[in-house]
Amino acid sequence: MDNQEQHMDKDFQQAFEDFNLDIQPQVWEEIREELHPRKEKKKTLWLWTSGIAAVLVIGLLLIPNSNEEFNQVLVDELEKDFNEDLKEEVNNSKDSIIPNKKTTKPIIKLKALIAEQIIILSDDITEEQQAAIIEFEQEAKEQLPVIADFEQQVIDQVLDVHPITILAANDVVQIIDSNTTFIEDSTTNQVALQDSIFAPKKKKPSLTVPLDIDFGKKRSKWLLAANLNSSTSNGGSDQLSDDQSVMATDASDEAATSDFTEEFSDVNKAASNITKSGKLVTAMSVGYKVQHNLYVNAGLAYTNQSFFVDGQSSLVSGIGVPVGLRFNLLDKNKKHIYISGGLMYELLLNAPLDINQSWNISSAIGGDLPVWNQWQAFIQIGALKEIITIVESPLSPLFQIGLRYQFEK
Amino acid sequence: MTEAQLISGCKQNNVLAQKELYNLYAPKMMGVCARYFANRQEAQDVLQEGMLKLFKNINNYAGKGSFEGWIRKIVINTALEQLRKNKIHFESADQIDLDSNLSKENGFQNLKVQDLLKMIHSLPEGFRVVFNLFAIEGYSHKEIAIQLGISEGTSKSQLSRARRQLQDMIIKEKLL
Repeated sequence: MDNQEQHMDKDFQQAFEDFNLDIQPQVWEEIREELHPRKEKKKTLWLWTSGIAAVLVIGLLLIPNSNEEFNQVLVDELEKDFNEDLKEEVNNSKDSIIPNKKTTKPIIKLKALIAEQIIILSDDITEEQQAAIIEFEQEAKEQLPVIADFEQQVIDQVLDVHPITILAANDVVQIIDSNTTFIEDSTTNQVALQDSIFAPKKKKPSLTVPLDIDFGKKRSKWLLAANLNSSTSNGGSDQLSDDQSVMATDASDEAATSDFTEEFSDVNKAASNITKSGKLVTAMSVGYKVQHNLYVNAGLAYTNQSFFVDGQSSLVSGIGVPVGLRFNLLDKNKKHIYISGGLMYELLLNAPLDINQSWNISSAIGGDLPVWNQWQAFIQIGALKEIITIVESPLSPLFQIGLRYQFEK
Repeated sequence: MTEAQLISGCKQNNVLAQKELYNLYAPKMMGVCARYFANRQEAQDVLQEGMLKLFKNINNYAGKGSFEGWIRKIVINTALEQLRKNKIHFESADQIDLDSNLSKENGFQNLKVQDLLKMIHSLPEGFRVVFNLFAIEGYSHKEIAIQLGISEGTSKSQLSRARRQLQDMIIKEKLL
């Protein structure tokens, strides 16, 4: 070896003598796990995660296949409770209906108005109560600017309670907006309303869940109902039953000149036939390793879904904020196979009708692989259920792709 | 904590001592692995495997010789195992011009170590491994031949061509 070669070798040796490079934190984590395995915790974690995943999957699978007969019985029972609670509320003293607390007042009043409307329909109201109702209405008019937001919130909730309650909710708005009296304005619609409200056997099967909400001093029982329509093919749908449509038409005929009827017709038309395709989600997220193989994910997503309204399709995009857990079933050479589950809040950018937001619950199986430094590309397929939305849907297929930045302690 | 205390703690399987030792030597050993593998992820996997071997076999360290040298040997052996699994391709000797001499112009004091690393990465795998072992680690051709399962002649020819290519790259870099 000549001097020239020796010189070159020496230069390289010197250059690399103190050469250091940064290492990703997970290298030490994996060494530590190998040297000091946490067997007990691992086992417990497996059990927990498997249990949660199983419950999630079974729950999602069971909901759209609920027995219709069972649902109908449940609806009848809960609807009865609901009406009785509302009656009881109005039958209580005036003070209890209009509590002193300013914060709860508008909601209680609005509830009372809705309740009164139903009670009037059942011809089960005293003169004293009617006087109280008129007084409430007067106060509501005076406080219109204050309670406008509350009204909308409550009406939104009412829309979720039961499709037919739309009538009552819209009527309340109309009453407050107009200069006519409550009783006169709603008389025309009462027959249709009464038929609709007190004819539960004609409704589509629904899964209805009672929920206690504490409004100040009073506890009020509210119902959350999810319509379970199985008449559509791909994603999901919401539609009024034929019987309900007939009733709606009857109501329209009888009150052709009223604003209320127009509103109801619009609602009926809007909700007449909506179906949705599966959802494609493109996401950018951050994953944080909380325990061995268990990660918390959060991010930002762009969603795409086709809506079919009365046979006409439109592509609806949305921005979502997904949050969830991920458990690695397989971890080999920085590539993972995992199960995941979580929630996503979604804001629709070009929503059909007035439905512009929803919550999604999903469960999926997926895989990822490292692309650069701590970035991973992932792909996952699973099932998704929309909750807390007007257009209820059964399980939809979910296809998700994206990039994830992975970091840990 | 001194190196001796760290080694003693690691022999007792103390996780804090292991973490400390890892923090002390792993970045440097990562620098070693990076010379053998152009893919950073692969280099990191080899480092992980090497450090695990170190902790599992630390009771075999008798305290003779440099501890860093002992770690380095474990890491390099792990890298060579991986390279053997990957089946390194060595260009045959007749393809190589053994008479080529290095230019007198080979100084690269002004080049950054990252540039040199890039040059090493751009070498064919066989050239790169032999150059690393011979020129930087100080292995003999006989040791390289045994480690890689090749002849001494192949080792020499790979080294010669590696030096030639590196020098070309250094000159080109300096002209830029």
